[in-house]
Amino acid sequence: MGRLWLCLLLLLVSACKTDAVQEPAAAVVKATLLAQSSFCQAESTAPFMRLLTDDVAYKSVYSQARASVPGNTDSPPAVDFARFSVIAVYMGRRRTSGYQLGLASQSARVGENKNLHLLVSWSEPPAGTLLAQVMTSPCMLVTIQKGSYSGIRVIDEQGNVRITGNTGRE
Amino acid sequence: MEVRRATYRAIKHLLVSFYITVTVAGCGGGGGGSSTPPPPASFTITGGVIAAAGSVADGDVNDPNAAFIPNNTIATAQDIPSPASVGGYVNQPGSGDPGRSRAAGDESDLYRISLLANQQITLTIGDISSSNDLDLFLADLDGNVIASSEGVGSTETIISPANGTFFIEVCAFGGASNYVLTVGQDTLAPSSTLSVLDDFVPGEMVVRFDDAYLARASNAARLSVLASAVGLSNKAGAPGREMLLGAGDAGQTANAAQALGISPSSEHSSVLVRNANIDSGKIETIRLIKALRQRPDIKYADLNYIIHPLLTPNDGFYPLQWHYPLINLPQAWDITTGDNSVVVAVIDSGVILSHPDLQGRLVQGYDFVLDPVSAADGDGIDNNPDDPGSPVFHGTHVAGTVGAATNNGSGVSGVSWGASIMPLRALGGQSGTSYDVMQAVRYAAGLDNDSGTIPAQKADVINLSLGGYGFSLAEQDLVTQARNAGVIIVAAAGNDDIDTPFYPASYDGVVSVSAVDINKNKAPYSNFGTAVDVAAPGGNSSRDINGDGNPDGVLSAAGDATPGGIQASYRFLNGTSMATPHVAGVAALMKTVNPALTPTIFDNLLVTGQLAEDLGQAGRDDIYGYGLIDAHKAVVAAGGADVAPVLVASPAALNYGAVITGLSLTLGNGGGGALTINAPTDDASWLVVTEDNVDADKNGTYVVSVDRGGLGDGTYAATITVTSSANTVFVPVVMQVSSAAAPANAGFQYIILIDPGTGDTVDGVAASAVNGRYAYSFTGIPAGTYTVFSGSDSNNDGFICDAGESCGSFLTLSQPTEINLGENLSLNDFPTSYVAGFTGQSVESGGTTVQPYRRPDLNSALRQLQ
Repeated sequence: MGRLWLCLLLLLVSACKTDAVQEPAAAVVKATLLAQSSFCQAESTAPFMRLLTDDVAYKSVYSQARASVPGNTDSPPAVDFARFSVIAVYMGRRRTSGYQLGLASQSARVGENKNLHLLVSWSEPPAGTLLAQVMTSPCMLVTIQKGSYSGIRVIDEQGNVRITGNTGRE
Repeated sequence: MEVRRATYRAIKHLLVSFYITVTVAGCGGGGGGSSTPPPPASFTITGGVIAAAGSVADGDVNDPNAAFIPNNTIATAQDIPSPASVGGYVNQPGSGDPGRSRAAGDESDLYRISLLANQQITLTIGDISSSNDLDLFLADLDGNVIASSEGVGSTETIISPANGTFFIEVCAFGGASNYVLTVGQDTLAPSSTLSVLDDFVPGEMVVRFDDAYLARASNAARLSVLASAVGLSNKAGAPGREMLLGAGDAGQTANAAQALGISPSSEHSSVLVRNANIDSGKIETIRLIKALRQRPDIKYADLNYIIHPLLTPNDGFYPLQWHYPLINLPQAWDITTGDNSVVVAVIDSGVILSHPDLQGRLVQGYDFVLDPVSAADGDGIDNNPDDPGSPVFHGTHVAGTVGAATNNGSGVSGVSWGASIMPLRALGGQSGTSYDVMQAVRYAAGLDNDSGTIPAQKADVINLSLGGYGFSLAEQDLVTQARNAGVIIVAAAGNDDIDTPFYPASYDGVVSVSAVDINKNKAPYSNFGTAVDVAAPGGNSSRDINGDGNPDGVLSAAGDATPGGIQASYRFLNGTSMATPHVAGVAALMKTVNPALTPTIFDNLLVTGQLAEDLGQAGRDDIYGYGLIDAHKAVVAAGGADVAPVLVASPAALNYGAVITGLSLTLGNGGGGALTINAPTDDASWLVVTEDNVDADKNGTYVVSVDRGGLGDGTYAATITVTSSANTVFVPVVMQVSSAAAPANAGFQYIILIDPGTGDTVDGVAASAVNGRYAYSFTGIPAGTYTVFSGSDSNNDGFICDAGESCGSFLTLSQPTEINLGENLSLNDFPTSYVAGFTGQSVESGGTTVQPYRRPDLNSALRQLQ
């Protein structure tokens, strides 16, 4: 299981669940779900994200996300990296089923602080319930239009910031 | 043979004309003067010899006094009954003793016979020597060989592959010899045989040269020279151990044959047609092996057999399922692959009912997810266990491990190829509740439940790859109920790498399963603790230790949710969820070999170390429990004799042929405990079963008799049914009625009177069978002590009772009875028969070694009575 990380611009850490952030509304960029899986082979247990800006990095991440499928030769959906970037969002390694990650809105708002708010559905199993004892690692790949945002916030439907990161641009 | 002749020549040749004079003293009376003494008293001995049932004589033996009915071609094949003991003789031209066939040869004897599947055909060769070699063939009615036994030992054996009529051929590969062909009767274990139908590399031989020869040979170190000395080339190996020698191409093979002094295969004496699909190289290789085995400089020579792996399924993804060989499943599959009479309930997220690798594997299931929102299928409980998209499709993966459609050329393999899977949905889109799981357990165990139904057949095993940390008395109580209903419950130990009790795995009566990785080490996520009972492969998808390019998870059936719907797929997953169905599947295999397996028996076998490979600390430990489940050990342990009583019958079938009227049937307990047998019943008016020697529970021997009276010609079948306190056994019976059936025939008999003190032949007559009986009469025999022997002389060497010839003695061959002759006697008939088990030059019968005896010289004074 090798991974090739070429031309990867940004690796974001320190996922956190914070209170809702209020920022003045500004531009909106389009976000489109490319792929999602419950078995994305995340290295860590903490949530994180990756910003992919070229085809090589994108295909590498896509391949890793499909590594649990034997003989997988699926090609990822084509992305025009001149106009779009890809955000790979990982919930982190989990010890049971019951965790789900999805794109809650195809409109990602850019606030005045130049933070892109990516709205996601972030579901965890209710406490005290019976769960399937299978290791999972939910993730999803989302295309976003390139824009003037410099930060990325992954926010759940309750307004909690799950993951923060930067694009590396001012 | 020459030694024996010299020995017997050394014994006085008292008889040419068969008359003995004895002087007897005069007795009493007055009168004086000399007188001629009265002739000595002499007496007459009469009696008969009976050919043993099933005895058949080869129609064209070397004895010119015997009847001559050639059987050398398919057209003239001799019909023989089954079972049978056939005594015969074959020889290559110019081989053997002078007689009918020495000059022209009698290379092949063909017999036509009706066989049952799995009947054993054994050829016992009488005159074993370096030059005498007979082979055995079985052919269909077109003359195509379907089986062969072509060794160089004293026996050749073939097992009938099917019911039907076949040709049997006894063929003289070299030299000349008597033989006994035994069909369908217990015989000696076969010696090493060579068959073209075995799987071996043509043109290759595994050879070892004799050590003493090597010590003398100056070229011992030159492998090529050693090999070329026997016409072969050296491919591998070394002197002093096995060498791999090769025969090369057809031309080189011919050179090897010439170097070994054997004739080309085209000159083989068999009249049957070798299968066109059989590599001619295999035929030649066998001939070379036979020749090598005759050489004094060769310690052994064997075919280079192709070794096949244990039973492995042909599913495309099986090679990636490292977790099955890890627990010795291929070895277990050699014993059983499971049966659909065993039901495993998978209580989980449901299954993808349309998954191709679950087709034909499922029985009716149920959906017990009560909350419609959680169920994600729009309704509450219903009889549809289809997984709407969990999205993990966990239940499909677990069910696939238990028993995916296996050996179907695609997809994955399952632990139990045959078990029926009962999909029960109790986990919704994200999780499940205790109540829903309990209803599913109730249903599976055939207990009252919220569906208002119970399954047509309750589950034998329940798999629960789920859980949490809450203890419930209701759940514990239900587990006890399900166990009491005979259900084995297996559950996952949990994935948090802690020793906190996890439920339902930690309930009393549940088999708790922890996980190991591909190296049999604890999986990093696996729970541990006092409740863990056994370990199984759960995998570790974060590694690729075996370097196959895939994560080291457990591969099974899965699904992908796409915009177009659910697509069936396969995935590597890891977790104690994946370990648990390995144990559930093994329990299903165990249940197949032992339908009486209970949860208690399973537990007892586990705690006594009979189901697992001990890992970690010796005995039980908190990480692996009693060890890594071992499917082979488990299946063997489940089928052990100590588990439950089981009625067995021996033999499994009864074949009376055309002449046999009574056979013995043994009924007994093949397992442990006590077994009570009920009186056997049958479905034929011509069949009678009577007790012979049975105990109070009717275990023992029975006599099964048939009465052909009033029946027309034909083959008759019947069934003996035996019920017991454990199981029922059916014994098929086959009998033939043939008004044209030839009576038993042990060949042309020479019946001789022996002086047991000297071993000399006192008198002798010759006789042919009349309705299976040979009558004899010795006249003018003086008072004395004698024994009577009878036998054939198939090879015409002048001696009866050679190995491979018929032999009998008054009263029995095992204990020849001495006759004190002082008056005319009419003796009881005694049997003569061809007996397999001849060794060397003597007959061993009941522990008594019987020597061959010189037969009467019929050229001097023919005393043939019939």
